[in-house]
Amino acid sequence: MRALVRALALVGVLAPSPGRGQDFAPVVPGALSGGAASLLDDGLPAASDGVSLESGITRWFGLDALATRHLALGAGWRGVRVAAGVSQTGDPELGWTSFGAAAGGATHAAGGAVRAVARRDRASPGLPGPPGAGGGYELGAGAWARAGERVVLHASAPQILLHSEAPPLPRGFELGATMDLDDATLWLAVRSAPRGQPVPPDHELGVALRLAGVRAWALVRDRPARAGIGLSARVRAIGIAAAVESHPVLGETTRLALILGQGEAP
Amino acid sequence: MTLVLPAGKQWLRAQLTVAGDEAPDNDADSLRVRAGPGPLALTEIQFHPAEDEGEWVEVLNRSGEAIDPLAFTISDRGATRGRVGGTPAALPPDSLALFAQDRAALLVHHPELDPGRVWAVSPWAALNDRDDSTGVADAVVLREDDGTPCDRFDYSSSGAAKGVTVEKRADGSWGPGLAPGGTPLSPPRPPPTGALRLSGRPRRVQAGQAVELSWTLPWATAQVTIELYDLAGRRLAIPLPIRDAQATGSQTWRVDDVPAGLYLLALRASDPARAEVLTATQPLRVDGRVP
Repeated sequence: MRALVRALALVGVLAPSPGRGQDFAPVVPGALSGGAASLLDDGLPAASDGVSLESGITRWFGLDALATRHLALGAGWRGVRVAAGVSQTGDPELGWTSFGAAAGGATHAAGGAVRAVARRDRASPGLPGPPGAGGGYELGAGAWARAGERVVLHASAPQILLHSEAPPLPRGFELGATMDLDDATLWLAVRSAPRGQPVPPDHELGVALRLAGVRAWALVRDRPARAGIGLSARVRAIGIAAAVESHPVLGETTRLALILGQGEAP
Repeated sequence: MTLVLPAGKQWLRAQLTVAGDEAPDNDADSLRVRAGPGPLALTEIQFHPAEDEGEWVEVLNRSGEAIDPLAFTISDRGATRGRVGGTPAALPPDSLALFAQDRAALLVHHPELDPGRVWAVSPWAALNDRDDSTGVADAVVLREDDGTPCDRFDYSSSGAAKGVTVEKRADGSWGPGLAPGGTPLSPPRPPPTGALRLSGRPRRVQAGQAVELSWTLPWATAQVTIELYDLAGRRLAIPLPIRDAQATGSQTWRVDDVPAGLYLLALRASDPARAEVLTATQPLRVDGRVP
């Protein structure tokens, strides 16, 4: 236990599940998954080669008007990692459609990628309020590296560059690490406030347990304090995942995904 | 000493006897009192109309028989007692009627009212609309012709915005009315039922524009607040700080100092009497370009 604590202290802030974006937020926390959605959302590529296709839906804070549906395809071959995806969020008045792409590379020891997302409003000029002015895009990057056989450190800056229309959720810089303990995984993350917001960073702590073909996880976050749980199961190349996260005021966010091929491995 | 009086109007007479009194004629006094409820009951008070309809007081004939409006006076806490003018018809039992400061103006603003049950009063003792140091704004006092008390209510203006009446609810308690402008010659509007609702219009704005926030509560009154959260669940602003509110209400909020993005407005309403807190949310999009 002391060695574990020292290891955690040495690596400083530990692992992510990095802060979720809006468009391609993976259902399975990034610490547990190297799927296409993670690559598109945070620029963190999977360590191993393979192909994955993920279809997911997120119902933010219990509001149908804020549901996000995404489809992400990722592939890795001989260290090269690429992903592309499309998602749609919200109703025609408030919502938008997003197209994402990412490219990078990874080995067993480290990986990194750049990611880009372009958005286009769904609103038409005929609706009340400001007409859909078009869209915007963001560029970011992520990287990870092993610090020993059981510890992986992550960093992600998903919005290094923003252009035109502001994104629905500004995202800050993220640092974290994951520790693999055979049938259990621990992770801890720190996320800075988005640019221009003078507020303290927020934190996330999670633990996952693996049993047979099922993985279950739980996480806690602060600012404000809240918790989430999730479950994933995989049979050969088909996996499903579901998660729910609470908020003391806004209600629950629920997520559901179907994953084909590489991805979360229980 | 406890004195049990039979219901109805009574005279209380006090007589003082002192040996050697040189002026026994001034040793007695009497007081007209009423035991039990009077024939007319106060049911609603409009003490600060939003329109120029004049003040008015609604009453209910609970005597079980028709009563003559000319047999009553109405006043505030002062000495001015107003009387009904003209030749109004008798008020049937279980009927509502209005004592009006300005009968003609009231009927113009409420053409649906039965003119036969709207009584002009003169002189009219103007009702205060601000609480004094004791928490009371004024009182409405009904008396019979002979001075016998009939009904009285000392009201507070707290929680009653301009135009809102104070009225007697079905459970006998008094409080701000739920219908804008009151319910003259009608029973109190019942509290809304159903879920807590929040509406912010428009749902999509530019920074600096105004959003009209309106709500409907499942209770007659509650403490409410409206907060603004981003999609990461962080609270960014409080468009409506916590305050007492009635079943329906609205507030205009100017979207200042909020970066462009997609947010959630969260209305939180709490009813201390029920120890219950409800929340309703609605998305709000603030358009803008990256600075």
